[in-house]
Amino acid sequence: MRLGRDFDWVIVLCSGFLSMIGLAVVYSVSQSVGEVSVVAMHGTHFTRQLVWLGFGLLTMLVAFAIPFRMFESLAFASYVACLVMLVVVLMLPARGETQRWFIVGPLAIQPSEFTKVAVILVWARVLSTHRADPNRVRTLIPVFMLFIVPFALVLRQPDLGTAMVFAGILLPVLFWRGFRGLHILFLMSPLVSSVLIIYGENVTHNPWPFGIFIVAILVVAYLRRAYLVESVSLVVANVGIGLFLPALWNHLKPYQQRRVTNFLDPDSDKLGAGWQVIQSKIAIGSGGFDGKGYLEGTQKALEYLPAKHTDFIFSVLGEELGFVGAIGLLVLFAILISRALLIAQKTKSEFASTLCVGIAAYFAFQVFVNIGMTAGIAPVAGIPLPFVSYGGSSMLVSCFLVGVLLNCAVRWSEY
Amino acid sequence: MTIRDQKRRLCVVGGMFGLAVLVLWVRLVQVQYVRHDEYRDIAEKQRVAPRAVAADRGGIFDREGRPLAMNIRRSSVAIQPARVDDANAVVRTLARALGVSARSVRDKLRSRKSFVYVKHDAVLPEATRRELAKLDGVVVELKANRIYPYDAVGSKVIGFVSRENGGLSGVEAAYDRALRGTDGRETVVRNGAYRSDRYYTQVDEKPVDGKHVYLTIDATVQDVAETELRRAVEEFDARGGAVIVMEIATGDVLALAELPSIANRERASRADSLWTLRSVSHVYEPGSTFKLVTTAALLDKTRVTPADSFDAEDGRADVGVATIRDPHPHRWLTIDEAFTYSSNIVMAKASSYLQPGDLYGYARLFGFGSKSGIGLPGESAGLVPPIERWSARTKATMAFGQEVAVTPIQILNAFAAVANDGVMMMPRLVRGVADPATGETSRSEPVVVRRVVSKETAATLRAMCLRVVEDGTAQAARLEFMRVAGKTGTAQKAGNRGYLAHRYVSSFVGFAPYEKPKIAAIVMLDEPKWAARFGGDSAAPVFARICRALATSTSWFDDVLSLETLRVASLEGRSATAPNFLRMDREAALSAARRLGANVLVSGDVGRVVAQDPVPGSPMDRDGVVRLFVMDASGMEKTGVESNRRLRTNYREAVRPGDDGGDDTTRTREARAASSRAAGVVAAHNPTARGSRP
Repeated sequence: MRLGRDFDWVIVLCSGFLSMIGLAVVYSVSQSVGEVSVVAMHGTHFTRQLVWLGFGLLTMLVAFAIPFRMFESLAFASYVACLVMLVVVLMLPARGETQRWFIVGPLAIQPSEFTKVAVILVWARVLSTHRADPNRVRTLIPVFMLFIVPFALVLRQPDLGTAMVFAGILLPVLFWRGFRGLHILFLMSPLVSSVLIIYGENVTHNPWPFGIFIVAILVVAYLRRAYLVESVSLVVANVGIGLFLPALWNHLKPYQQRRVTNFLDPDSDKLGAGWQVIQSKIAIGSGGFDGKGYLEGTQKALEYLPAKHTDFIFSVLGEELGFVGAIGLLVLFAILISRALLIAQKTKSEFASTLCVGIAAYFAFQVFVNIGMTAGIAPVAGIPLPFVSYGGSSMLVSCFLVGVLLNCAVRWSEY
Repeated sequence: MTIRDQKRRLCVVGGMFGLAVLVLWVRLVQVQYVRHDEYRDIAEKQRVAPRAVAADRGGIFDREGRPLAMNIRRSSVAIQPARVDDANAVVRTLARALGVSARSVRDKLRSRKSFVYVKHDAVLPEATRRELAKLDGVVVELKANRIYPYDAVGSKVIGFVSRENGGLSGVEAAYDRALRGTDGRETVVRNGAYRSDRYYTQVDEKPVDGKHVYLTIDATVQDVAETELRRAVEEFDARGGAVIVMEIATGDVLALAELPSIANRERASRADSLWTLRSVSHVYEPGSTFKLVTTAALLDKTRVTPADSFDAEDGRADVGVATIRDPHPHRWLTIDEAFTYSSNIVMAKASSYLQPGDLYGYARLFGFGSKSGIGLPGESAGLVPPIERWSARTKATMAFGQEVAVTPIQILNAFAAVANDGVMMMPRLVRGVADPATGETSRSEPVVVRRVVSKETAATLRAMCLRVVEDGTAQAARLEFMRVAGKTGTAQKAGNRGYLAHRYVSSFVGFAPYEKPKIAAIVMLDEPKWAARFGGDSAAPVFARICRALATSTSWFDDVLSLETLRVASLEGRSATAPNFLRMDREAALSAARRLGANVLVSGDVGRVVAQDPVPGSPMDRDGVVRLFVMDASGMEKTGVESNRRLRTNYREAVRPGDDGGDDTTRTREARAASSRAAGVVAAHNPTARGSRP
């Protein structure tokens, strides 16, 4: 291990810049009207975020200093600890409609955030053993079990967004370990079919996209030289969904239907559930190329943006700093993610490599869903933007994962 | 797994992530660059809302400064259910302050709307408004409402306004530009969290309030005119009628009354023909009143004198071009007598001495065929056919008022010119327009149109008019205390196929007093019953009654009448008995007084009449004052005995001459103001509402 040569300054700089941008935007949000009551209680979001960043740095140092082999042995322990927390949080009295947080004094700890780290660790552990083969059922079943338990617990909170993050991390990790791409298509296609069908039925009233999709997967299956059994079951699964989903759909309660259609077509309910997305798009769109100027956002100032310091913080950034700021942020994330993949390529340890891909997937998925949500191309899910969104749990997790990346980078030659 | 395979997989994973970033990039380009303008506009539109701030419409006042139309501020109360904190307090307070049921407020609180009106156009005292505005989620909006303190008095001249306070008829329409003012603009910046709540407002442009318009109308004269016209229309079973009263020296229109008219302005519509001012827009054949023009032309343009005689041929004469009838047969009549007894035959015969151009010229000279200049919407010029379109009989028939179409205001103005020593004034309805903000006033001075006839001719014509009243057709217009003069007219109405049997327009145009004419008036009745078809029978007495009323209840004739004649006039109304107002509540007593035409002086603001002086049934002067003492129940208990004692002292004060009590005495017509719906505001203009004197 040679610190000077192998320390990845690029990752540190990227995450540092991202945290600074995050702090700046949180500060800007703190300047708006609704902030007054918060100041009276616990100080502004800005000062609290600053404190969290300090703790984050500590966490990063710890994650960097401990040899990654320690994580390998701690993986299951942390996984179990997280599951316990998830169970406990479900047993606590509900806060509003959801049960996501432990409230400790002024802090709200979100165990599902930490579970994301735990699942990355535990999957890396399981898939990096010598006998593991992701194309075998005996490997897939434990991996699936490790996935489904936290998935179900988080879904129960209910927090579909975070639960989907688990899936979003799992697929690239599996692929990285040698899972066949065709099987991923296999797993994904029913989901895509469902969306196409519901969209076709309720928004565009046009069944053609679904038909085109069926033909497309058949073409892919043929080109990838799939077994006949695979192709047949692929078509049966998708056509089956095509047949049964409308019936199932009609069984849903109207408000449940509304939630789905609302994502697919936010304009259908402008003042209700679609409000957040529409206002977010207006904020980003009205920002234009170079933004309205830092601290000058009108959508932000006049309370048009919901959850503007957490999940919708990108809208404020897009409004005040414009396309330039948004793309800058995107580039920083892209660099961070690509560095993570490069480390995964370089490191000799199977565990560390898998870990790095998991981390890259974590950042990629969070960034895509969060920004996609604010820009109206992903469903509204309570997923924070790493380093930027206000929130302690998210900040600690992001810093920890960056620490792990640096750790793997300097110890690339260790097995 | 081979190194090659791993590289491939890295590329795939990296490629997928790269694709995700690319998708976001494309989306951002789309939202922030391609559709930027659209989103910027939406953001602006939902954030700021420009609003008009209504200017206060100017008031309309009569010549004494009495408000005929004014604005009062009404409150509309609304709730924002989502912002209501203490629902019970809101329900309780609103129900009490607005007099609505608690249940209806509760229903509205449950509404899913963000803004619900609870009550429109309520009259709320300042304190109540403040109390309501203090409640969270309750909004009090102030809105200017047009009110007409004198109700239907002069309603046709004053006109009415639309819901948006735009003038739609009468003076409201004619002077709309001045009255309306200029609306201001303000920008409301809206907060997204409470979507309908105003975050802050910024005033971009202050409204400029409308100007006040001061009319020449005298509300008292107007009321007299309307009352007498209504009485005559009912008495003679006429379809309608008009009365216009004019001050001779200035051309000021003091009253312009018409029937059929409008009882109130609720649901007023411009489409309603009742709002049309027929006095200026409706033409009719004047009949005998037009003989004034013929006579003037004869005196000025021919050698015919008032003493020249013509044969009236016992009521039926063939003058060569037409057969002409007189309703009252005569034999030989001088021109003077022909005017007095209104002989068509003599006028037609005498007209043969006139050149067609002279008759036509005099008709135009007297203002016929051109607009009077009164400045009301829809005015008609009437029609004097040009000579080239005359038939053989036109000159003869025009001489007694046929084949010519005139408006009532034109006829009146012609007589007013004669009364004004031959100088025609332009009829004037507006004395001035004043800007309430700056106090800047533009007065419209009386305008001399032209000299119509010489002073001498005018004097001759006036003397002929006097004879009409003294000996002729209009003896019903005679007054004991003042000499009046005028001319009757009885015109057969024309239909599509000639004249209609049994349908007449009866009129009387006159001026008073004869010696020093001050007032001219036209009384016109549309299709009175057969027995009263002659203007002298139906219209002339109305003129007399109007003059009598003006002598007794206005100061119009004060300086031309001697003290003695005034006394005679007021004796007319003596020997009334005091009506009973006891136990009526204040409003009822005022309206009763209005109905009975009694002058009342009210002490006390609320409650019932507990005492009156003089007591019911006792004889009193008709113009005397009945003092009413109003007290509510609690006050009666406390001071029941004392009020009787006060009654005695007040009575002595009241009868003491020169007492300042006269100031507080309000004629019943002004009492309308006190009892009108707008009690709170109008009170400031009405001394009686100020309460009891010590």
